[in-house]
Amino acid sequence: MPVNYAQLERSQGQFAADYAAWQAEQAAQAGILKSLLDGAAANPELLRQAIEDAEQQLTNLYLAKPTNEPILTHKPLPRAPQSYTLIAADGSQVVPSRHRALQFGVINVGLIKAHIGSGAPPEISVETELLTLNQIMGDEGTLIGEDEVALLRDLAERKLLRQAVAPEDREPVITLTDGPLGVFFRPSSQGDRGHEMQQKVQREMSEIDEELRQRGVVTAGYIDKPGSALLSHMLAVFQCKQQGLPLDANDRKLSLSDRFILQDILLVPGERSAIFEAITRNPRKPANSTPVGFFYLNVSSEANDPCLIRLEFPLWVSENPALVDILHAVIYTEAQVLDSHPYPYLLHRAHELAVVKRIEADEIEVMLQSQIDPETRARQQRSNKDYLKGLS
Amino acid sequence: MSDSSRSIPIGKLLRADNSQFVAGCRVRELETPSFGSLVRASLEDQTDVYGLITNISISDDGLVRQLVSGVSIPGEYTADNRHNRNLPVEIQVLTVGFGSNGRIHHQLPPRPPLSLDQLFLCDSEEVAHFTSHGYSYLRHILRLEDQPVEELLTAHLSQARRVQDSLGNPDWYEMVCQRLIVLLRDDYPRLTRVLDALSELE
Repeated sequence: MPVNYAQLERSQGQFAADYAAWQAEQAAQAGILKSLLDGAAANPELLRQAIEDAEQQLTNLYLAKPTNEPILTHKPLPRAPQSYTLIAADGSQVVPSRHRALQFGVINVGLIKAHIGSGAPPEISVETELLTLNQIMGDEGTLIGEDEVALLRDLAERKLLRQAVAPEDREPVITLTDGPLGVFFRPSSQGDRGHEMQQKVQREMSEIDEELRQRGVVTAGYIDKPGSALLSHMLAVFQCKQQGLPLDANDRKLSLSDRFILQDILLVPGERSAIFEAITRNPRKPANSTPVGFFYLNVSSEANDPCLIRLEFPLWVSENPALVDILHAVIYTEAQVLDSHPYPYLLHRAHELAVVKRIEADEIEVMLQSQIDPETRARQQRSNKDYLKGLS
Repeated sequence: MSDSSRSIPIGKLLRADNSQFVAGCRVRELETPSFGSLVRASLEDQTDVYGLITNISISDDGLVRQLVSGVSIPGEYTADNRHNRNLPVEIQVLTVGFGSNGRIHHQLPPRPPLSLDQLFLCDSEEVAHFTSHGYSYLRHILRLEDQPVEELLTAHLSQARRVQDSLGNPDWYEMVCQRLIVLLRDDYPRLTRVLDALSELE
């Protein structure tokens, strides 16, 4: 049965009206936030105090904290180095499903390493990991979900990047993954087991981050079309402080993607924002996670048509302005390879290498089944629902 | 069966029928095959199927189209697309004969090569061997429609003439031309085009 377009047609007018009202509300909010941003820029000491108070008083926190750069900074594009090493990794996964005849999980990570300036084709590799039964089965026999598998995938990406860095690489060496750099603490990762997994992944990631830091490798996370409201949350606590209100009374309505606040500031292609620290406070988050810094970057090639992305990196990078300039220039140059839809070429290629299609997942299942005792195999049936879905 | 160790592998069979076949190779392997070259696919039953390359096509995909519109692509990424990405070059081959038990036949083979059979570029010795058994294979070329027959003849005869000349057979080319005139005697416009194209070789 196709979509009932007649029914949709009746609803679309209301949808458009609601959307217009929502946009107007967003525009109004952006206006308030921009004026708060100007206020905060004019009073950096009050902003610093507001954030310090928030860090002490609030248990749940996700906001931007200025570093030593003025918050209205818009820095032009520096010149990219002639030679450097850029390594991108991206993962894909088969999430265990009870509807399959066999319950299994796979993590597939694609890695691509380019020695820019060498003229040589990049090195590519794919690592495929079959998750153990212990990894995919919960204590009560339930299967782990998409979020837990995603955590393991993030860790696998980071491990592969660590392996890929070699002493003979042309410096600087920059690694790139898609999405935020820190472990995302997913509320859907249930129970003690999920919590333990998050802690374990975080610990291992922190060890890798530290090892890469010691080797001078810059790890970066690229967030396309960012939706986070780190600046909004920062400005909300600033507003509370300004008005003498308790910080937990901050206006939760003030939550707008940072890109709407900065798009009028970063108008020139290649400009970046000030560097901020991402402050994440979560009762489940371990204290040993690597401090993360970020800036917004206009990756557009057209003047006055900004396309902002967020680039995350370990905060230690921000202490080295020359390294920040390199990162800034390299990421912009890289995104310009696909200039009409700017996005890092190597990250797209890593995704292309990693993606596991349904047909490949089915082939893995057949391969695994062939190793199982025939009698047991005969009892393992795909769900009828899944079978019937496959008919249409 | 020919000695494959001397020949240059240039691709693997994608699809085939008795009269033509298509092989695929990576862009980086594209240095050796050229339009009009004599190639061979060796079958498991010791039969060699011979053909002429009639077309070489290079596939694209969404990413390549996106890159084409880009302002500047680093050399490393051009190399990535040529060396690493799975975009095969398709080599179309017109079957012109086969070899069996050391004999060359200018008829269509009993069966086509199979998918993933290796395609080899024939060396001078093989070209000489194949073209020294008469000229009847030319009919396969002249039967082609909607293809640049004149260009194909020119490319192939240029290669074969060079080989035959080096073996001390300067008359070979003249005999081929006479044979073409006979075969095309009832199609004067085409004969004119063929001779015009072959004049490039003079």
